[in-house]
Amino acid sequence: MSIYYLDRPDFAPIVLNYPGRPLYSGASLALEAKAEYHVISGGETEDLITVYGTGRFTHATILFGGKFGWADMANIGIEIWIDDSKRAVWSLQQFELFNALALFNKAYYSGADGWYYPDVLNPVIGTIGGRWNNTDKAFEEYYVYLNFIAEFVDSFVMKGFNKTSTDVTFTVRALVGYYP
Amino acid sequence: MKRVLFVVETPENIRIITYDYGKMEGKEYVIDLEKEFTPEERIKEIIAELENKKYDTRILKQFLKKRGKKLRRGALRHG
Repeated sequence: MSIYYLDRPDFAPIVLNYPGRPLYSGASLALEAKAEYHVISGGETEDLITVYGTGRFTHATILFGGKFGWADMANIGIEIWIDDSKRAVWSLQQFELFNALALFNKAYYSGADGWYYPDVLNPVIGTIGGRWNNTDKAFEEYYVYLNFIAEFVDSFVMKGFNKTSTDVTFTVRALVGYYP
Repeated sequence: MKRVLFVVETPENIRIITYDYGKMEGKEYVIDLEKEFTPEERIKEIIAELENKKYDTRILKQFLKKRGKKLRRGALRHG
């Protein structure tokens, strides 16, 4: 493991961080955090995964279950909170936009029920698959992933929100690591 | 920092993960929120145990302060 200190003058001008905080290369003791089939009722926002300590989030795959068409997809999603401040809010529609609507368009214009997978992937954030109900023009299962590093010194929280009128099931598997 | 401590909370459980780099020894405590009637008390016991092992337990104490009263068993926790 390599350790660099940011108070070195040659590092300080190029790193956006406060001086003295050590940067570690790699995530020590990577571990999985998961929340399985957690139901969030309509109109609710709930914590799915909370990590306390100093570390980094590196990856997550999230499964949304229920029945949601394009309009509802704006009202279901996740929030990322780092060190007690909200850093990102992504609805399923926004996940689609990161992926050029590749999954939704493929399912919607297929005209048939079934599992669909996008032909293109955004390497950082995107959709990876969904089960489409063509009668209702809605997804019944929907997978997204987050593939970036988010560092935290105090806490990392992933919340699920559901502003629709029906229940949505959230399953999250995330990888986090902490600094020694 | 030779001893580290990490807390992961999900709707099902609370995991308290510790690692002593000096001894190359780790331990994980899992508090099942469906079965544990008094998670707050259990965390206090773990804090005492870790303090005996010279861990810095500030993270756990902050966790208790933030979440302690909201930790309830099973469905009660989510109203």
